Amino acid sequence: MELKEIRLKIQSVTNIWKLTSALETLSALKMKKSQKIALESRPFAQKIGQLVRLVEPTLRDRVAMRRRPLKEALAVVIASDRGFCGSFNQNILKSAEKEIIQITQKSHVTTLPVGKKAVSYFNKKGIKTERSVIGIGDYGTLEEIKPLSDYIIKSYVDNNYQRVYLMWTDFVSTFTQKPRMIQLLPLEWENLKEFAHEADKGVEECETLIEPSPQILVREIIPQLVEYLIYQCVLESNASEHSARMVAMRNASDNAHERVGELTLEYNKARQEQITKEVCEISSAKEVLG
Amino acid sequence: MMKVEILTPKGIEFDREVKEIIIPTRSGQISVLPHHVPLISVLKAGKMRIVTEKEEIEKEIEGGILEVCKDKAVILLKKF
Repeated sequence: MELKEIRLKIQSVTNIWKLTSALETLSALKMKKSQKIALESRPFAQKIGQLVRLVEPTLRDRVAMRRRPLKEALAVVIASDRGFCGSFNQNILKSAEKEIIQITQKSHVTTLPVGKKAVSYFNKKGIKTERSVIGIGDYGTLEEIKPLSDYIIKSYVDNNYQRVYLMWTDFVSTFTQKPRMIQLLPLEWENLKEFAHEADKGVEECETLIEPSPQILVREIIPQLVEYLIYQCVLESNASEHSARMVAMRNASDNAHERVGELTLEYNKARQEQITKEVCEISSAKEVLG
Repeated sequence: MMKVEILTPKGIEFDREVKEIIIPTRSGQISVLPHHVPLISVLKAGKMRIVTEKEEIEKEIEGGILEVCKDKAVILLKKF
């Protein structure tokens, strides 16, 4: 390679390195914050999940908990708005697609993508989508999620959909995130068990008094349950996204750094080669002139 | 004594042994003592009082859910 060419290459790789390491620092901060939020609200969401178990015997025949003949299903897929986060989006979208194909065998499915990446993925694949949600910030808030959960509840109650699935990326640790799916509606303890992170121990079957009345409980609590479940899934996805981005950026900047080293070595070699050649030329010319 | 846990989306805000809680529900203010029957109740806005061995804590709440099971009460609130 020409000296100039190598120099230009070093310059551009250094620029990439600067960019990725800046992004790494930034996403490390976001990762910390989003992990904190997700972990802090976990006990709350788990308790909400456990409440389903307690109210299930009493409310089994209510709309939110009753199985209706399945014709239309809604799959809510949570990915991210931005890329640059390694295989985060790929993982969740691929696994969601697989699940959707499976559900298609039983019923008609409509997908509700959350995040720009999900929207473009499903559009490209030609999978039927309806309403999309984009612009949920780095740390999802209840206010941002409310329209989504209201829409889900409303279309479920109106019988537009008889089943609602939720697919998101569960945050396990900074280095591991797992795509997961639950059946959100109808609310069934069987399906939420895993989400509530609770083995069958702990809560004992006891006759629970429901006050003021099951009707009010359904009206007041079920929407909140659904809202908080979605909220938690968004938080988990946020934490996963930022972690994935941090790790991806760290790898990228490590690679860029390494590449700069390699290129510099190459540059020095080429430079030396040229100097040797010049010295050679000069001395041979001198000999000839001798 | 019974265990009381107050959970919000921000985390576990309160986790202590208490003597009594007095809390506003949709069907009126109730007081929960140890060995209360299992109960799930919808809370309404108002003043909640928690009586512990040493002190009495009073706090405004905006509504939430109360769950009592055995000697443990869990209060789910939006804010605490």
